[in-house]
Amino acid sequence: MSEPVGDTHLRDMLARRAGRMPPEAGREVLAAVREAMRAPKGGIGFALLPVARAGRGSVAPAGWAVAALVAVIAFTVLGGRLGRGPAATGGTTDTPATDVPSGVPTASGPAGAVQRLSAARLALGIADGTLDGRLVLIDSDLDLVPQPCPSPSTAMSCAQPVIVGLEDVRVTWDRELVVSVDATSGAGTPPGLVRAGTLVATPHDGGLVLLGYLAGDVERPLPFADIVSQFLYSRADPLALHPVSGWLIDGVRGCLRTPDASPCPVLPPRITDLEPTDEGFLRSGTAVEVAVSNPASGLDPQQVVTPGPFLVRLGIGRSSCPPDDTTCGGAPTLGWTVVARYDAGATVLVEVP
Amino acid sequence: MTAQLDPERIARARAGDADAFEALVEARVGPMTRTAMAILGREADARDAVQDALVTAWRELASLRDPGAFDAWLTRILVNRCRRGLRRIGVRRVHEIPVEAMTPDDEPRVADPTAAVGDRQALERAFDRLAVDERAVLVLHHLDGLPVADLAAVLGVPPGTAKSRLFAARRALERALAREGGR
Repeated sequence: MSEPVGDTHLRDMLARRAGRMPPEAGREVLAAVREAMRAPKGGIGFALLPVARAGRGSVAPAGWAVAALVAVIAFTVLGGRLGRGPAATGGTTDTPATDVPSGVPTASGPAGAVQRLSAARLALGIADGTLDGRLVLIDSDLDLVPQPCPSPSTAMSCAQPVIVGLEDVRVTWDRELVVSVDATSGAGTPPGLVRAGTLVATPHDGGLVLLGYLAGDVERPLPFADIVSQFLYSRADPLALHPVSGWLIDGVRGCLRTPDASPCPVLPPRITDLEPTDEGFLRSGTAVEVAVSNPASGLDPQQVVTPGPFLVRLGIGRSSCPPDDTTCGGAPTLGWTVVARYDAGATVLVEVP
Repeated sequence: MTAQLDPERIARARAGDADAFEALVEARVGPMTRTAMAILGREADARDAVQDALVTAWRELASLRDPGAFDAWLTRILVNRCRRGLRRIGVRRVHEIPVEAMTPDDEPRVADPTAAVGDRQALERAFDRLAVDERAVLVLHHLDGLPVADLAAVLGVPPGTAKSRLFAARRALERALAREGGR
């Protein structure tokens, strides 16, 4: 049992704690701030590695080199902006500031660069639907506000997600995330949820659907096979979204398992670490079966080969039934699901001040 | 960390006048370092958080619509920077507030001012177990003396919600203290 803590004792403890800060610290911090303000280029920046939009083609090594160069340029430009102070932002924290007439973001930011939005502009884009389907990265925390559990309760139905700084935006859990957490943990309050890191969501129907949080550096996605082996014996955290590189192959018919089948069934989606043919056949290398979230943000369901990077989740996915077999009722299985394709040019970043 | 607001100085700072901004935050930086120190408990982290908060405030000042809300805005940035500071240290688990802990009227429980705390260090260790948002509401209210209305302005939530967070933070501290064996 816990007992109340007296106000006086709490205040005394906090005062003692605060008192360990030397009196001159404020002056020293201010001097450092002054230096940072005067510096032409700040050390603070945000740049994401841009990649080509999804297409039948792929990102060749030369393409990566160009992309990396663009990233360096983007970093330099952003660094220059940040050092200039408030007047240089044109009265808004958003980018681009000049070519957006009504507070609604354009379909895509500058080629290959993540678009930065203020919380207010994000809310506007969510409300009028212009951001629907886009990937939104939010540098904030997740509050789980308790709510009365329905009966029978499920793991996530007892907590309402609220994004700190975006309290006015309605947030709902990704449906597949709910299935995964419920299946792994059973009823009760949601266990194992993490609030640190960059939250990932997608606007839908006037609100935000929470997909999870970034569990890696989206600028430097790891090969999918590395992630798979790394988490082979780990406990799944369905909220964690891992940035991975590779090519997603989906919708290819093949008779590898049952050569006499006619017509050949659609093979489960796979991610391969080496570029496949345009028709989705592996040249060499490895491929790991995945499920594809429905609908996965930034993925064209008609596309056979899609280059990454992707955000993938380890959780309870659908059974490994063939995608076109509607009668298959296999049990849910622990596996990897592609939640979104990361395209810097179609992604917005919201930094809650 | 409230100091007298000079609207003209804020206007100049918003227009990019670095001297005006410095003058604006000069009286606030000391209290900010104390607040950050109380929240984070480590001097280096607290200095980083304040520095980062002030640089961010300088960059984002043009987006502040109501100059009268400068102090609440600045404190909010500081709390966010403290949160990031802890984030750098490591991933934290969500602190879950049990449903049954919420009273219908969300009234904070009145603590017994005469209750003795056996182990002062245990109280601080218990405080360190809290999430940064919980620490922040306790520090802002009990150390900086922010009333619930001002706390709500800093958190950007209605006063009822601020009150409820204060209550939840207090309960979390009590539970943490119980785990420390201090209660």
